[in-house]
Amino acid sequence: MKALMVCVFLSGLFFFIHTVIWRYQKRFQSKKMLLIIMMVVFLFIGLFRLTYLQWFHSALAYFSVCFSYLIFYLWLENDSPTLRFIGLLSDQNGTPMSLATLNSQFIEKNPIVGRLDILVEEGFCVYEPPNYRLTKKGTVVARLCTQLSRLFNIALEG
Amino acid sequence: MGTLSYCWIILLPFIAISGVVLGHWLMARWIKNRHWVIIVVASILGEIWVLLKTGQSAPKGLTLAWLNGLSYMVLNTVIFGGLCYGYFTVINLNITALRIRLLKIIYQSPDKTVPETVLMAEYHPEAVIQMRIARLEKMHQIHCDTSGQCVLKRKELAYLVRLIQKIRTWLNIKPIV
Repeated sequence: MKALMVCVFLSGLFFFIHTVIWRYQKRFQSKKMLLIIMMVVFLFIGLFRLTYLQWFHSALAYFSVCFSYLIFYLWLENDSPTLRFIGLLSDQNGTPMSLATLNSQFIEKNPIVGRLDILVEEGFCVYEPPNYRLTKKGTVVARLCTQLSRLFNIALEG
Repeated sequence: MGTLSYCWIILLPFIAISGVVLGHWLMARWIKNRHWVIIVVASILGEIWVLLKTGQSAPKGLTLAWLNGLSYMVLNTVIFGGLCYGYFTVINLNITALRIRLLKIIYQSPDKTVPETVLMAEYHPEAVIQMRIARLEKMHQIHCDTSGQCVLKRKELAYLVRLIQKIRTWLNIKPIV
C-alpha cells in the first residue's frame, strides 16, 4: 500500500509542477525540462521509509507514468497530419468536405519542411545545401527502425 | 511478505510485455497490416494475466491483505500499461511517423545523402493526404465517396483531437505544424 501511495504522491507532484511551469513560465517549455522535473521530483522518494523492493516498485510505476506522459507530450507538441485531418472533418459537423479543400490546407503548410527542420534541430541529419545527410545518431535510429519494420513485417503508411 | 514473492510480483509486468512482443511477432507473420489490433488484443490478455498472477501472489491472511493485494495490482497495471504504451508507440511510429519515413528514405540511399528536391518530390503533401485517407478509410473512421467528398464516420478520433486541443490550451502549448 505504501509503495502505491508514494507513486501517487510523486506522480501528482510531477504533474503539478509541470502544469504550473507550462502555464506561467512559457519560456521553460521543453522536453528537457520535463525530464528535469521528472528527476527532481523522484528525489522526494527519500522522504519515505520504504524497503528496497517497495522503493523499486514505486520507482518503476512512477517512471512508467512519467515516460508514458512524455510520449503523449510528443503528440501535444507535434501536429499529426492524421489528427489535423480528423479535426478539420470534425469541425464540419457532418457536412462533407472535398479532398481538394483538405489538400489545400496541407499544401499551404508543407508538413515535410517542418519535419526536416526538426530532424536537423534534433541532430538526426544535417542540411548541406542542397542535400540532407544522416548523422551517426540518425543512422542508428534509421537502422533500428528498418530492422524493426523487417522483423514485424511493418509496411510504411505514414 | 517474502522477498522472493515480492520480486516475483515486480517481475510480472516484464514477463507479460515479453509475451506481448512475442505474440505480436508471431501473429504479424499471419495477419498482415493489423499491428494495432494484434498489440491491443495481446495487451488486454497480458493485463488479465498480470492481474490474476498478482492477485494469486499477494500475501494472504494479514490484516487488510486485500488492500495490499489491490495496491500491487494497481502498481503492476500502471507498470504494464506504461510498457505496452511505449511498445505500441514504437511500432506506431514505424508505421505512421513522417520523420521516421524521411530517416528511412535517406538511410536507403547509398551514401546516406538525399537532395532536398528528391525528398520533396517523393513525398508531396498530396501523397501524405492520400496515405492518411486510405488508412483512415481502412480503419472505418472516415468515408470518401467517388466524387471526393469526405465525412467523419466514427467519433473516437474526433474526441481524441478535442481532448488534445483542450490539454494544449490548458498547458499553453502551440503545436509544431
